[in-house]
Amino acid sequence: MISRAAAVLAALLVLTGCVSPALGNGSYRGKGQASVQAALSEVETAALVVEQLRRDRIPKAYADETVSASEQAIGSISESFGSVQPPPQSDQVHDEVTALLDDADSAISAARIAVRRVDRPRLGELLEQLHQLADRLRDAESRLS
Amino acid sequence: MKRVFALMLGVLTAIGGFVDIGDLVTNAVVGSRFGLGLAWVLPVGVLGICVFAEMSGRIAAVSGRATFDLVRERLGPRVGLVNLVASMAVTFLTFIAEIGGISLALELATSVNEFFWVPVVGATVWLVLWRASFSLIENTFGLLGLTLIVFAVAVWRLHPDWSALVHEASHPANTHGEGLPTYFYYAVALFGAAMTPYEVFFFSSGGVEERWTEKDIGTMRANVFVGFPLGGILSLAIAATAALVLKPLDISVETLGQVGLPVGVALGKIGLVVVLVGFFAATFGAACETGLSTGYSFAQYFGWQWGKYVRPRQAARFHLVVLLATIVAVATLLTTVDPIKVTEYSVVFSALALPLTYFPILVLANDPDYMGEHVNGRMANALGTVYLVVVVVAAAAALPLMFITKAGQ
Amino acid sequence: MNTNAHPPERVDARYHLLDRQILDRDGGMVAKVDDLELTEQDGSLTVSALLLGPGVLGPRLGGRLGAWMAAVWRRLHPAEDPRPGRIDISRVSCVDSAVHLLDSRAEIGIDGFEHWAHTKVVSRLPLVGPGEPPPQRPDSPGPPAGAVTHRASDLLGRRVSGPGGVPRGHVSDLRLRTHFVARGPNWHTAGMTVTDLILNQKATATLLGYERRNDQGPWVLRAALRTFRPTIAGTIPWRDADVDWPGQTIAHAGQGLDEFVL
Repeated sequence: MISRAAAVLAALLVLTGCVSPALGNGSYRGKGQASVQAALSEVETAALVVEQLRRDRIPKAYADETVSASEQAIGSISESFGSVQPPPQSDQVHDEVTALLDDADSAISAARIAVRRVDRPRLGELLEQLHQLADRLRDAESRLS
Repeated sequence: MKRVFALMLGVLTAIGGFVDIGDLVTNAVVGSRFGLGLAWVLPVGVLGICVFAEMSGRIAAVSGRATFDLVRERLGPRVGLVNLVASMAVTFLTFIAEIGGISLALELATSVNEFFWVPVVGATVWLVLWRASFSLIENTFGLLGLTLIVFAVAVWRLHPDWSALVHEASHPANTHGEGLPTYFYYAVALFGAAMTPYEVFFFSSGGVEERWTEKDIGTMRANVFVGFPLGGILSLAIAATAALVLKPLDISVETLGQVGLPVGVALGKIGLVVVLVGFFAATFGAACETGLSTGYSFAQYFGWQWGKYVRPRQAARFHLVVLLATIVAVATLLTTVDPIKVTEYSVVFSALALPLTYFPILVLANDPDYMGEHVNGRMANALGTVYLVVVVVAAAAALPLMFITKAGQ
Repeated sequence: MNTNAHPPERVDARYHLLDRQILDRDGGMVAKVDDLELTEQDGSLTVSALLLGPGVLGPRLGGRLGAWMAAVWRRLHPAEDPRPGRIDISRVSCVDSAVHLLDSRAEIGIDGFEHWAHTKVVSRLPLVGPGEPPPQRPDSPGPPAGAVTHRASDLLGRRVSGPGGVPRGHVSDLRLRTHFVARGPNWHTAGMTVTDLILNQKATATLLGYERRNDQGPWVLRAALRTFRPTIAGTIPWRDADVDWPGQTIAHAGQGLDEFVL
């Protein structure tokens, strides 16, 4: 009885970890929205770190680790979205979201480089860039919902 | 005077020792995604842990026996074994999460990769459990954990709209954009983070380690009813800082670094340095507690000599279990599993294991054979029964919610 | 020489003895009572020893897990035909929330696994500190040759039938009477005799106490448990019970059940 319960538990665990591939247009749109939302969180995190570092309100190691974690996260968000086959009518969603995720990826990478060098002028430029990118992501998120 | 000092020390270590990696992560995640809309769960969870910690502490003080020791006697060897396996699995999962948490905190402080820290931390935790005295461990990490007050200071320095904050906390509501199942999933997670099963094992075993008697019941109650709620306020502060800083920016917490960011916004570099000390203290203290609890539950089921109050050579099997647990925990973390993910699962599984843990405590605290005249009064029984229902509901909801929400995504 | 007699005490095997922690003279932990050795002696059944270890716990757990546990123990035990850990009942001083022994841990000795854990692992770890653990427990001499022994777990759960096969219930517990004898300043347990069998309608796995007393709180829990779980049906004196040891049943010669007294 115990071993059977354990088997059921294990099966449930495996199922919760599985992500179902997007099939229909509705769920692909939803996947796009979720990816944009996740990207927004990473972009805003990077922006916050950049701003705090510019004002010397965050230790360098902390800033480095946090923005590097965001960089890794945006990489896997892009990969996860990109690996899903878009259904026929959803090419526009695919292109728009992919473009946004690519921009987020490069912006956060640039931020990581600038953070590691504590390149203050560059940090200022990137802050502006990240804020604009965040606005575009918010915009896209509301359109996709 | 000495008694006052001892009392204060007990309360302060209870406050500082309340928060662990589960509280740190879950409160920050909830604050960043739901604001204070789930704040109602905290007082519910804190009262619950107070009620059952008091019972298990009283059991230890009056009978001189730890709770898990007595569980086998009352539930019998077969049901007791199920209880052992389930409780130990959850506690061990939490142990892994805590060691991971320490490594993450050190990574944030030094930029040295987490995976380098994992074996170093594992060895250090084991060494502390091997040779440091019980009260040294409790007092050091309990007091150091008080640095987490920095979260409360940060809330104050962020100059929030207090009336809006109070209004949000007192009116439970879901956030736009999050589904209702996700709301309740995080309610269960927060509940599990506040009412961790290992806490009651550790508390009663600690009572035996420190040789409590009936005279210590008063002090024990002060520690529980003053220390734990104040510790709960620290948890609330963590959620509040995330709600005030991260939620407006649409940042949802997924890393330990994000948990501390609001303090940096409020208090600058000094704030973040203090936060890192707090992270380290909370996770290291909890790693010691969960590591010891793994050994306690195993030894107490089989009747082996256990505890730090005897020399290591007198409790060889107990220390063997702790050593093995540490090695397996380190090995698990070196498979590059994300400690934050492990933490998120550990709090939900804690909620799942709660009925198994709490039901025997309620029974034992009422048994005149062990408790004599110190059996539960009407208040303890009323609260205990109500909470038994609550934990059963939370446990029943945990797995379906996890399945529906895909673990909170 | 203590002239005051220690009155005999009533103790129930499963509720008070089984799965209880065994403590030595100084409060150190020895083991749990995993089973009880019962010896037939002049028509009466006495508890002759406490039995310890996975070799005894395994059969008591039953099922595949129990069999596995016992098999592992047999495989890892250094002796060819290992005998279970045994503490003679005469070494017990008293039973309260634990079973207290007259001897210290050094005199009792430690069991094989503890010894192995110390020798092979703990003593080789850094900073282990000085001192030596107690020596390994020697094999207990065992019951006197020719004595027929059984285990308490063998009796518990057995179905009891009255004359004509009318079902009386299942053995839920064994009621024992403990006799004491003074040796110097201490009271020894001189012996524990089975006086009655406590019967329950069904074979219950756990004894929470609610089936025995009517006043244990909280009342909600008590009411719920007494609704769903059977309470104690009554007791029968040991002399009226005829145990088919190799089989699974016990025949009761008397007419009805005696009332259960706490």
